[in-house]
Order: sequence, then structure tokens, then C-alpha cells
Amino acid sequence: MPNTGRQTGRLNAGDRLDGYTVEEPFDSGGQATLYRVATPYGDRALIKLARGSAADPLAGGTMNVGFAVALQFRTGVVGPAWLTPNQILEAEIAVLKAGKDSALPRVISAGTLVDRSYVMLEEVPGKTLRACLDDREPPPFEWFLRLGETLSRLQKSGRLPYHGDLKPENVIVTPEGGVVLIDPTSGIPSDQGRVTTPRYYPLLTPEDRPAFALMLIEAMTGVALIQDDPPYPVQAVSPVFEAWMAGLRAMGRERFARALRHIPRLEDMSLFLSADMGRVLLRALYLRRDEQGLLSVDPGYPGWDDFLADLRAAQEA
Amino acid sequence: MSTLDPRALIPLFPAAPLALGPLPYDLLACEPPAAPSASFGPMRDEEAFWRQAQDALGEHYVRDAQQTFGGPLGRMAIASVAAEDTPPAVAAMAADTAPPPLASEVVRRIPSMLNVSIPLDVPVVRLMPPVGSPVKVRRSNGFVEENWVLARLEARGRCLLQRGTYTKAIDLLELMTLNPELVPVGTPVRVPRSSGALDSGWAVKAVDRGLLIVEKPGLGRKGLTPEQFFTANPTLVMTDSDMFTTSRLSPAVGSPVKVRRSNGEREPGWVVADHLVDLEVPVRRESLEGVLEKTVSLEELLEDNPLLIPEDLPLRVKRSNGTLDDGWLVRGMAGDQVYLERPDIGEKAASSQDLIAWNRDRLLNEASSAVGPELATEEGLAQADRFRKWGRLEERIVDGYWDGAPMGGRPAFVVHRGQDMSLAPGLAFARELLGRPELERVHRLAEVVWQFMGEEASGTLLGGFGPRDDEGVLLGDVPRMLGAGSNLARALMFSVMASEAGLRTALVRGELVLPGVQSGHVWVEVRPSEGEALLIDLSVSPPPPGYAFPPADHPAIRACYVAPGGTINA
Repeated sequence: MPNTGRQTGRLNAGDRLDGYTVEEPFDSGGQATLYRVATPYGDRALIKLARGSAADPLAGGTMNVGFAVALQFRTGVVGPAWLTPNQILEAEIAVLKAGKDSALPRVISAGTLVDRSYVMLEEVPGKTLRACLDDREPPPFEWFLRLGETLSRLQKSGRLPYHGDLKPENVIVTPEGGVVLIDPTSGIPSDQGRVTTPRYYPLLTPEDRPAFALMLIEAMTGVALIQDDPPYPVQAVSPVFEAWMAGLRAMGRERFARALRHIPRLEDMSLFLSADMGRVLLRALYLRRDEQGLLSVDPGYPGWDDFLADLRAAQEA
Repeated sequence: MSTLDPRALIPLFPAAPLALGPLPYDLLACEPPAAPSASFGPMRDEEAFWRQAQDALGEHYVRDAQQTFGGPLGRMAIASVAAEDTPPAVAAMAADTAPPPLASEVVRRIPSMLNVSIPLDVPVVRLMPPVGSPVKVRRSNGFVEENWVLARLEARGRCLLQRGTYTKAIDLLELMTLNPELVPVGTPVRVPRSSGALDSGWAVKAVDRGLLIVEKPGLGRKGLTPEQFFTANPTLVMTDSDMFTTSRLSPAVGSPVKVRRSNGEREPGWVVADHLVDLEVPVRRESLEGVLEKTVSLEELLEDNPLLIPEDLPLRVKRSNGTLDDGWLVRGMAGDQVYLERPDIGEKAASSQDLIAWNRDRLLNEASSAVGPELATEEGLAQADRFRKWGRLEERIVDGYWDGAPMGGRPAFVVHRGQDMSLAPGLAFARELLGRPELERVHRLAEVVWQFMGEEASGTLLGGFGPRDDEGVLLGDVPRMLGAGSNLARALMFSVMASEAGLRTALVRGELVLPGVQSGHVWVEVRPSEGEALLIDLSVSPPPPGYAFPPADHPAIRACYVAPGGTINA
């Protein structure tokens, strides 16, 4: 007789939960483990099971690994947040349950296995954007516009004010060319911290446009710009950029943002990236090249609409 | 309309607050860009910074590379050499000590608030294996697994390892024991003799088949297992917490000492047998009856043998008015009294017990422990509560002020002038400024706070571990315990010192708003009796040249520093 898993809080192949049978572990991250499950009738799903009940700020790994890290913000200080994997998963479940959108995976059931939270999600066909980039099959530009429109639509409808951890690992490209967003972290109350991946959120702010721009640059050039050891040399920067960095340092947010100092002229990175496109993407990162060619600071885009309009214009130019 | 036109006027900040034309605040950036180009016009450099500072304050500023401030994050000291016509300090000092020239004290007083390293017979080296090194790791099933990479060194000796998408954190000792090849060749070490004693003067020569080969010139080579090696040399893998519980003052092995017997007599003929562990010093005495061994507390040993205090360690001495004067050096003994000297003042005598009481942080490293909530007073808690609620505090900050984070995330910052021995010299310095022009007081205090708290405000503390959230840190202990002061600690310290210096200040809690990001922030506003209020943010690094701060009410500054309660009243 197969185990039910209810005694140990762990799942093994053959365990049964909510009418589904565990087939195999599928993936694991710093905060949760994913299992493939199926019913005897052929219905397939995924179970996401929180990894233990104790907080582990180190579980997120490093910026180079690109894992999400749990951060807490206090005046002038950014430190590890002691959010437990259960808290993080429960916040995600709340967002997905309230979302009810084709761009978010559907929640089949949720509960607790001994002391660990779990959620059963529909299995989304397709592969992650990370897998596409690793296979050197990045989706076309139009797909990225669709992704931007999806984020804009979800924000306007109030279903997802922001994703919070947008990165190629958390975006699924469906066979029909659709977009499904997984692992949103915007459900975590801001006073408890934030779970985000500094490689895509160098300013550590709850805003997805910089992450979107960094993903698009990565897809178009094959280079992840924000790294502990950035791939390009330090650029000549304007005094305003220096002042901005000084301000970020005072806020405790310079550690990851300092990689922005290395961002080259984007049009120099790829023949397929125009100067106009480079300006749009830089602006989404709150950057611009000033009249002397120095890397400087930009007020950024006020919303998705302006950004997407400029992206389209730059693509058509 | 597309916003792509580079000629379009883009409202960077609402009035470009951090670039204020002729105002000195736009000179925040004095670090030259890494890739200077002649086509971009003259770049700022250090020399220009100093020239500007000199122009701004009308004094001759020099760099003093011998001094460092701000602990490990410190930068080159700024030694302010007063012009010849600088008026003397008017603040009263103790009648028994002649007041030193004020201007030269800026550099002398502050370093003494910071770490002083005492050389041991073997240098205290903490191994820092390079990130990216391939390492072996012991799995929970006992097997040793290869192909892991050292990804990051964390606080308290924790090492973050990575293999593919897996990460793992282990202690530095465990890492080094499994990977002895990471010990650099040439590292000076101690080696256990067959008698059990430790012999200095050895150095790592090679690593061969898991053994660390050490060599001592003229004596030969030895092979040590990693366990033997690190047991004999614990400082190589000492964690930050070990550092905190171990005094930096370690009497040299072999030093003759007197040891107190159970009847209270001090018995000569003992020697220090080994380095201290947990503030306990092993001592031994050879006699006709054999070898006697025991351990005594460092405090007791120093009480009975004050000449163990290094002669170059500056100490505090109490003045007749009750304040502590810094910078005194032990020069000798006369009976039970310790003679101290401060070259610019003279000599003094004090008992060893008093000397230890005034300098527990330096001699016994006690000041680096967190304080408990019993230091908080009702009035201090209420004051902190008002500041949290209204975002503005214009009154004098009282002793017992306890500024904690209600949601956790950091320890409380505590103001307690009586308990904060590290802050005492700063407060005395502030009082000595009382007769100076207000702007000069502001500049001097800002300089002291900025240098004391460290060059860069403590920022991203990913993986950092410090005092618990329910504990407090006295302001004077912030650099040592937290690495550097955050904007709140800096503003608090400036405010406390400014009160002593007779300045009218407001502590302000608001938002710092920059492109793409805004964050809670604390700063100080100073209202001189003449002129406009100044905004002082000592967390922005580097500070304005000459510590010439911008007007708080400038619209561009207000666009950045959004305060809830307006500005300080005129």
C-alpha cells in the first residue's frame, strides 16, 4: 500500500494526495520542491511543496545563481528577511487564487502536509523562457510584446499589481505562443519583506519593467547584464549617475545596482538591437546616455503603456 | 509622443535635485570615472576635492595616510590643520589638564574610539579562500562530494557553496578541514610540539596527500593533519563571533607575570603559557615541586600586571570634572599606581582597577556586546515613539532613547550618554566646540560622525547576522558591531553631538526619492541662528566637499528628501 506522505511531510513516488498520485520530483528551488502528479484517469498536475517550516535566508543562493532571495527593507538597510518557505508559498497561493487569469496557473487545491504548505497547480504545457534561451531558441520580439501586454493587463485589472520575481525561469512560453507567469511574489506583505532575484531586480524595487528589459536584452544578445562580475567594463558615467549611486548606497541598495555602471551602449551588443531600441530598454532601467555619451540617469517610464508604445515604435523604426 | 528623442527635455528629477549647479551638493561625486576621456572634459579627482574643501572652509586641509577612521570601512583620515589665527578652544577642560589646541584633536581623538590591533607573536590571519575555488563537501550521508564551488563568504565564517543549481552553507573550519589545499603557502602558523606546547615561527610549505607540510627554517619540516593544524591555529578560521568574544589584547606568551593566590597575595615567577581563550589566560610556574599551571581571567591579570597593556594603546582617563579624556599611554608603575602620559598634557596616575573600568571596551572588548532593553527609559521610549509617529524630533534626545524597528530587521539604536563609553570622547569634543561659529560646529561634527561611522552607510546585509532585533546597540558601538552606521545611526549620533555643541537641530524621518526607487530615510536639519536651515545626510558617500551642506528648503532638495512635517521652524 503506498504511503500517503501525511506522516513525514515529504513526498515520494507513489504517495497519494488529494486524489493524485506522485509520479516524480520535477524541480526544486530554494523555498519549494515541485512534483509531477497524476490521477488514474490521466489528469496531470504539479504539486509545489514548501521546503520545511524554518526560514533560511541563504536558501536563495547568490546573485550569480539567479535564485530569488528574501529581503527585508529598513531605513537605509537591506537585510535578509526571515520569511519561512510556508509564508512565501502561502502568499503565492493567495495571488494565484485571486488572479484567475489565463496568464496565471490555475490552483486545483491547496493545503498543509504535516507542517508544510502545498499547492496543486495545473500543469502548463510549454517550456520556460530560460529553457528557450538555453536552447538558443528565444521567442520572437512579438512574444515579448505579448508578455508586456499581459503584465500591463494584469496590473490594470488589479489581479497582479506586479509580479515581483519576473525572470526567464518564471515565464512559460506555451506551444501556442502564449504567456504563463509562475511564482509571483507580490502577495508578500511589504512590511514582511520581499522575495526577488537581484539579477533581474537590481534596484530591489517592486516593479517589473527593469526585469522585463533585462530579459529582452538577454534574449536579443545572449548576455545577462546584471552579475556579480559584470561581463562589460565600467562605463564613463555622468555626475548625476554618481549622485544616484550615492543615494542608492545611502538606501542600502547599491550592492546589486552597481552592476548598472557596466551597462554598455546596447546597440553595440548586437546587430539586431537598434539604437532606438537600446534607448527604450535603457530607459526602462532608469538609464540613458547623455549628450556627451556618458551613462546617466533617467526618470524611467511612468507605466507599461508608454514603455510598450516606445518598444513598438523602436521595432518598427 | 515618443520620448526617444535624446534632445527632448526630460525632467530627470523634478528640478534635478542632486545636481544643483553652483551649490556644493552637486559635488557629491568626487570619484573619477574609471574610464576617463579627454573628450568628456576635466574629471574630478582627489586633488580637486581637497582644493574645493580648502576653499570651502578657508582652512588648510591635508590628507593623513597614517590615520584611519571608521573601522574596516574607513577611508583616509582628514586632518584639519587650523590656520594660525584660529581662536583657541573655549570649552572648559579639567583644571588639572591644559586644553590642547582644538584643531589638532579631530584626528587624534577619533581613532582612539576605534579598533587597535595588538601584534601577537603569530599574526592573526583569517583565511579568506578565493571565491570560485573548487572545493569538496561532506554530504549528510558522510560521503565527500567534489565539484562544488565556493560562491561567497558570509558573515560569521559561513561559506556559501554552489554546485549547479544547488547551494549549501558550511562553516569555514569545515570547509578548510576538507580542503586544506586552500591554505596559502607561506601562512605563518604555530605547530604543536610533542609536549603539547605550541611552537611559533613555522610556515605552510605545501599540502601533500591531505597533510599540511609546515617548515621552520633551521629546524625542518612536519606534516600535520588538518585537524591538528586548525586546532593549533584556531585564529585562521576564527569567525566574526569568535572575534567579538576574544580580546584583541593578548599578552605575549612567555611574559613574566604576577598571579593572585587564594589568600590575595600576588605571587611573582609565573609566565604566560599560551594565548588567551575566551578572555582566560593560561599561566604556568616552574618550581622545585614541579610545574604549576592554571588559568586566570584577563581582567585579573591586567589588574595585577598593568604593564601588560601595550605602551602604544591609547586609553581614557577620568578628568576631575568627571568626563573621560582620551589618548593617554601607559608609561610605568609606581607602587600600585599606573603612570600614564599624554605628550601634549602631561602625566597622571591611576589605579589599574580604575584604568580597566574606564577602558573595558578596549582592554576586555566588553563594549561590543549588545545592550538589553533595561537601558531604555520611559521618556526615551516615548521620544522614539513620537519620532516614529510624527517623523520629526526637535528636542534634545534623552538618555534611554531606544529606537527599535517594530517589525524587526535590525537591532535598536540606543542613546545613553552615561553607558556609551565609545561615544564619550565625541561628546566631549562636541562640548569643546561650543564657542565656535555655528557653521564650523556643523562641519566639524559632520566630519567626526562621518569618519567614526564609516565611509559607507551600512547597506545590503544579505546573509549578515548581528545583534538580535530585541537587543540594542549603543551609538558608539555601531561601527564595531554593525560594520558601519546606517542613516538612522548617523543622524542620531549627529543630533546627540549637535545638542552638546549647542546647535538647534531636528531629526527627520521621511523618504529619500530617487529615479526608480524610494526608501525610508532619516536625516538631520540644522537651523543656524542666522541663515537658512541645512540638510545633513551623512549616509551619502562621499560627503559634500568641506562638509558644506545644502539648504534644506531648496525645492530640488525637498523633491528628494520628502519630509512629513515641513522644515525646521525659523
